[in-house]
Amino acid sequence: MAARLLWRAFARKLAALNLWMGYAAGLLVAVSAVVLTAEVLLRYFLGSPSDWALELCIYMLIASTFVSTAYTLAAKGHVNIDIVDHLMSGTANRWRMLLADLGSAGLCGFVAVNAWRLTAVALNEGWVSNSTWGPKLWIPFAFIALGMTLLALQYLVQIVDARLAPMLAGGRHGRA
Amino acid sequence: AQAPKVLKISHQFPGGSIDEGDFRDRMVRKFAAEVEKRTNGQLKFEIYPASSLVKPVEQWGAMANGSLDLSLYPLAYAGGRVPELNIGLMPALVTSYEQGLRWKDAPIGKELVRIVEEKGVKILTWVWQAGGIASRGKPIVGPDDVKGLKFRGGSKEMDMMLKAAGASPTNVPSSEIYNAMQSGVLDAALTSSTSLISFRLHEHAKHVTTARDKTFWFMFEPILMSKASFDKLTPEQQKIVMEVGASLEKFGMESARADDQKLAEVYKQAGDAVHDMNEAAFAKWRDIARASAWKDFEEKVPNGKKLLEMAVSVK
Amino acid sequence: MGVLEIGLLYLGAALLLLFSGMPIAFALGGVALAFMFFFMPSSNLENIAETLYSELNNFTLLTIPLFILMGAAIGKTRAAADLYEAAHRWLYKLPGSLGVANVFGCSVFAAMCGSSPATCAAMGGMGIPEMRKRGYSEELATGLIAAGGTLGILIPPSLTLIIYGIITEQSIGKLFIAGVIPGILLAVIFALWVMFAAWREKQAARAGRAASELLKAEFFTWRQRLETLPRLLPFVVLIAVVMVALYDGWGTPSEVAGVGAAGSLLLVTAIYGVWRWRDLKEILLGTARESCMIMMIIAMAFLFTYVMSYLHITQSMAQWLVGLGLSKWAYLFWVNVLLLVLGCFLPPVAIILMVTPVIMPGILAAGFDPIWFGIVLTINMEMGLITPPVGLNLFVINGIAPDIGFRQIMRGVMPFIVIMGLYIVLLALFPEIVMWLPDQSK
Ligand code: NA
Ligand code: NA
Repeated sequence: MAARLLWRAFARKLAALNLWMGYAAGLLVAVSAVVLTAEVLLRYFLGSPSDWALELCIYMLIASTFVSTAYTLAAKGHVNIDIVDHLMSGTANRWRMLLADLGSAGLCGFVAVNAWRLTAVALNEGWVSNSTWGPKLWIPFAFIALGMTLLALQYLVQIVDARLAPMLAGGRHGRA
Repeated sequence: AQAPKVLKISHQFPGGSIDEGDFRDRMVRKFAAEVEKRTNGQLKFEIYPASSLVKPVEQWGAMANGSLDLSLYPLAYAGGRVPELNIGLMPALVTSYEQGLRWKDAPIGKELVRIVEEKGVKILTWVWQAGGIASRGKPIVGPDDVKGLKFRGGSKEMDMMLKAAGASPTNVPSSEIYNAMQSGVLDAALTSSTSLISFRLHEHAKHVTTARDKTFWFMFEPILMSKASFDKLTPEQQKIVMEVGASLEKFGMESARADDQKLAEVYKQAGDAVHDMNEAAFAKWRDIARASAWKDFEEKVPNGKKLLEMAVSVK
Repeated sequence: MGVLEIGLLYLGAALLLLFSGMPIAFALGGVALAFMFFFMPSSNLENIAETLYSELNNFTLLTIPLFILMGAAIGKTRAAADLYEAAHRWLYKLPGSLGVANVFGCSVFAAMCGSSPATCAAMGGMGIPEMRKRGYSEELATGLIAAGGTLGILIPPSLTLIIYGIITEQSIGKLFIAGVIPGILLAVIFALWVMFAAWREKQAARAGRAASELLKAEFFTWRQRLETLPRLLPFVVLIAVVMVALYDGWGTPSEVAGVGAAGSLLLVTAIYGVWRWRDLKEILLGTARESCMIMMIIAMAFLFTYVMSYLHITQSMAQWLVGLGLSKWAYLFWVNVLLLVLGCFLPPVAIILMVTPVIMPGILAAGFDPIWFGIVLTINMEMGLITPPVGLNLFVINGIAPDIGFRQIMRGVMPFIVIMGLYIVLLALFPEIVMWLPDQSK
């Protein structure tokens, strides 16, 4: 019972966090738009381009992509091919979706761990981007790691709540 | 007989054949053919031109961890991870092809080899390439000519020197340089002679400054090999790989120099004015480079000052 | 195992995962990861995050979320309704005027937005109920909106052309310019077909005895027509600015996209009064969802093609294709058939990312201009958007008009699929239609 409450709280908090990440991701794109516009205007009127604007925007884009991927999953925004849905029975479909989710979760978890390790290496060895601005590379790496971690967790919630729970419920129903 | 071992070579330049096309691609193909011949086919190669396997900058990391075997690689690209390597594209540091090639046996060369091997990479062929400037508005020879120009320097150190000379370094991806030159997003672009030709900038430039006499742009782009892959070869194969690598240095130098000449011809043909950089202009550039890019290198890189001294001392 | 066996296994595994219901992005990433594990040195797996990063660390990719933001902001306004109304009042004298108005509404909306489903959704929400009310058959009404919506990726800005430009290292600016004339011409051809189809339906209605809405006359005064213009003006100015900026090169396409996105945000807040958090958050979340979806496919498809390239599958397939010794036109034909088949199942982004590395060497060797081929490829992708079973635009229509059967929608889009197929032939015969405008800037 306590475990169930804890799990509910966790799923709720994760959903709320991911929603905020969705806003943040959209905002990052909007900020990039403003920065690039400023860059164009400054270059056009003052003839003075910056040496950091484009690079900053790339990092904001990478951050935007990865931090919002868990939100996008929750909002069913990642497109998939679902024609098999109509060809298989309900039970077969449930098992297929469970396997598909496990596969995706495994991939995302693996990339997350790998990205955290890369972040640590970049931090330790002091990797920077090889531009005049020269920002530290662990920062974009960390956004990849954070995003994939959130995504793996979101998959976990989806597997438990949307796949396993109905199957277990269905099983009990069947025995009754 | 043993099954042949297949090694992967990647580079970012346009692909062609062993006899035609970009000399950097040809060099890699010559290397592959010669090693295959001398090892009686024990070593075979798959060549991936035009970044068709690994992105340009990341080739370094891929070699360091052994997922890529070889690359013809502008060493300064790895400068964000190994700051010492920025010396491979330091403005006005190398003054001629011959001097660049002499690094190999000088203390600076030994030190570079040590640094690179410590990161898991070996240098097989020493190649330098010179570059020039394509510009729209006015000819660019000395530093006074670049004031206020939107300039694509293409690397951190070059950008620093250009900025110190009063230009506005502008970041443009290489696929958009052509359009940027056409429309005036860029006033001038700086890159290797070979790329100045293959980017077809002569269609929009009015002037070109070649490297036939002097140039502040010399880039070190050796053939590199992953140490992990190298260590897996037999001693006999290792010897062949090193020898074939060294044997191509002359071809590299002659081809690079031929492209400096070809640059002038191509642009002249297109009706552009061709300029050369004289000793006096070069000296001015060198002063500016010293006060900007060199200074930054000395300050930011632990043994930067020593490395620069070693490089300058090569006669 | 030889390259051929591994290649077939790879293809099979990819299809299996794609049809398993996994998101396309993770299906591509998953099969890549599995093959790295079984067939490649472990150092590749260790490098996976860095490989993803290296793909996304790209100036040109910036263009994608920016144009998505621009489309999302405009989609939040009454622009679609205004466009639709204006086109209707100005074109009402033509036979099939309402349908023609919808086609042109789609074209103009397409010019503001880089995505086809978005164009379809914006124009269809207004157009389909209106056309049904006026007696258009359900087939024609849904078919022309589904097809008109596909113009979103042909008339610039276009997400498909951006991705094609990145993969083939062609100038995005030039690709956009090249899309203008073929896009407008295709819209005109659609309109002509709609006029004919509507005329035919009208004839059928006359022959029938029941009074049809189709036969009712309409009239708009000049005043009624003119008063639609001021509301469109801001958007027309914005489109004009973006196109001029691209053509005249005020900046790189990413920068122009930034200006377009910032401009549209300014427009919708200042002029269309979309400034409440309730509206803005929809724009932000919509942008996040769509750009994340596309960028994830791009990132994971890169892993997919990296593995193909590493295992030499890409090169072997390309060599095989070239080695078939097909004539130039036969090669182009089979490439288009392949694209069309893939288009039945996969969205354009995934197809371009997976297929172009393989087919491009042959296209270039045959002497086709890569800019021209980019446009042909895009039209082929447009067909994919309205071919069953997986056609994004069909689902959008299905969402807008849930009471119209899928079968009717499919019957409605058929003529347009045929038109687009013939249109590709036309562009092959007259490549100048594509190349004339980009060649002007030389
Ligand atoms: Na568009
Ligand atoms: Na389809």
